[in-house]
Amino acid sequence: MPKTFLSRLFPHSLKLMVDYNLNPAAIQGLNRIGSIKAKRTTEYGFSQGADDKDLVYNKKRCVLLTGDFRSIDEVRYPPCQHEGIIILREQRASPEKIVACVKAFAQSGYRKETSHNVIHLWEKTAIIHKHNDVKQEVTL
Amino acid sequence: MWELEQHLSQRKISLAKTSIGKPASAYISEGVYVNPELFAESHGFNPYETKIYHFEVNPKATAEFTAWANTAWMNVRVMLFSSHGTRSDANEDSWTLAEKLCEQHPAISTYEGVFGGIPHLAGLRISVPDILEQLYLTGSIAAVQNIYAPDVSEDQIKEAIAYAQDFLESAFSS
Repeated sequence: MPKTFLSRLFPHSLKLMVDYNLNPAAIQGLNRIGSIKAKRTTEYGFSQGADDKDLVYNKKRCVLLTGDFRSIDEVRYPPCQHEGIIILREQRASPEKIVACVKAFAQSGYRKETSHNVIHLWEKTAIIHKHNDVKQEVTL
Repeated sequence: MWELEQHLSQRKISLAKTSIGKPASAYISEGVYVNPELFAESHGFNPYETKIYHFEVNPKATAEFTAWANTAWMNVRVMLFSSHGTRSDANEDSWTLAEKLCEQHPAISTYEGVFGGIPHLAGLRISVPDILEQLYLTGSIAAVQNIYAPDVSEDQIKEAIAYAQDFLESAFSS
């Protein structure tokens, strides 16, 4: 979508749908970042036991933030078929660490790469999987 | 053809020809890497007209399958179906054990729609590893319960811990 005067003046926030299994305490921290609007899956009307595919292919135009790297990845959910997925790859991440990872990514300049792509996110690095199997490794 | 059938039967794969599509369409009921030359030769198909319907069980095997099938010289169209969820990669023994233990722990489920079938609290998007992770971070069952309140009870958390224990013990026993 081309940038307009208004879109430059009021940049879009990144709409994140935070997976139910992530500590909800992280959501407050994410919303404090400023450029991010985060809500839990249940706040978007999904049940506590919603299927993976319902969350990935959500109609809410939200990027899914999940810690589930075992079953959600670029192979099962290829780029361009959904709004975008951010997969937190830090093990045993506290709410503070979740916020730190997302904040580092959001402020790195790669935030615009989120749409429709699959991003594996660590605290200091990210791997962005794009259309046609293009893979970009970035330092945050 | 015999070689292919043997190859598939070893993996309990059923291969059926169908009248839909010409000259032949193959349904491979479980994800498996099939040698392309063997497959083409055994079916005697015209690679420009044949469709292969491939049911996805192991996504990585499926990705390999799709990669060779869609090469220029093969030019086979592959359609992927997730007929029953997208099960996470793990060996079959682990899945069998995980499912068996669910009978002893009814609060735990391996429904494939959630986390690709990784053992989780039935009806909730909270996996057994999630419970252990939060327990590691917070140090108490009450604190974990508080994180997921009001959806998770103390009994469910204990059940998840017991499941993890049983899984480890069973995995390392003969």
